[in-house]
Amino acid sequence: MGSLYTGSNPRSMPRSLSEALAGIVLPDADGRQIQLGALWETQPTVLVFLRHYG
Amino acid sequence: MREHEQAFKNKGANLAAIGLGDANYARLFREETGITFPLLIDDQRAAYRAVGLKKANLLHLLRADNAKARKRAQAAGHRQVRLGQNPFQLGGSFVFGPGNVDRYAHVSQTFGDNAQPADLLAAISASSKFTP
Repeated sequence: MGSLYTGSNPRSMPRSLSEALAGIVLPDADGRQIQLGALWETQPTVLVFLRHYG
Repeated sequence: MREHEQAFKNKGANLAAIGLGDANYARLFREETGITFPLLIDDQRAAYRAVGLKKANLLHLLRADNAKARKRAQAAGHRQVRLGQNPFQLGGSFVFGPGNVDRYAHVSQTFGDNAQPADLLAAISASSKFTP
């Protein structure tokens, strides 16, 4: 994961990936709005970004 | 990844997926695969951009590792039935939590470059609190 956190200026360092995602709200296949951070709030979550459906 | 869902659950972890496209694509995918975990739709690529996921190009199609990955997927019975909104979008796999803690990140560098399930399970186990 180190390569995702490059940069010499600490102020320009990105937040953690989970923090960057946590506030994003996306619909599920049934139209329910899901805040991503809620997925891993209380337990670990494997989050897979698909290249395509099918 | 769906075939490993129970192994993730046994370690105390959830599985969720994010895809491009629209709700029709997502529903059809869910029906065809029988998945029961959350399948989210990111048609604006907001989450894909937030974690820096990459896009391939035509040259990736010629790479030897892509040909090997295609053969491996076909041998495993996987079949790509539709390309979706952006056929060059690459994927990634992550383990987060509990809380906003990054435990594992795999950003695909080309087609077929996927996280190994053993690595995901190891990342889940790294939190001894959640090791059964």
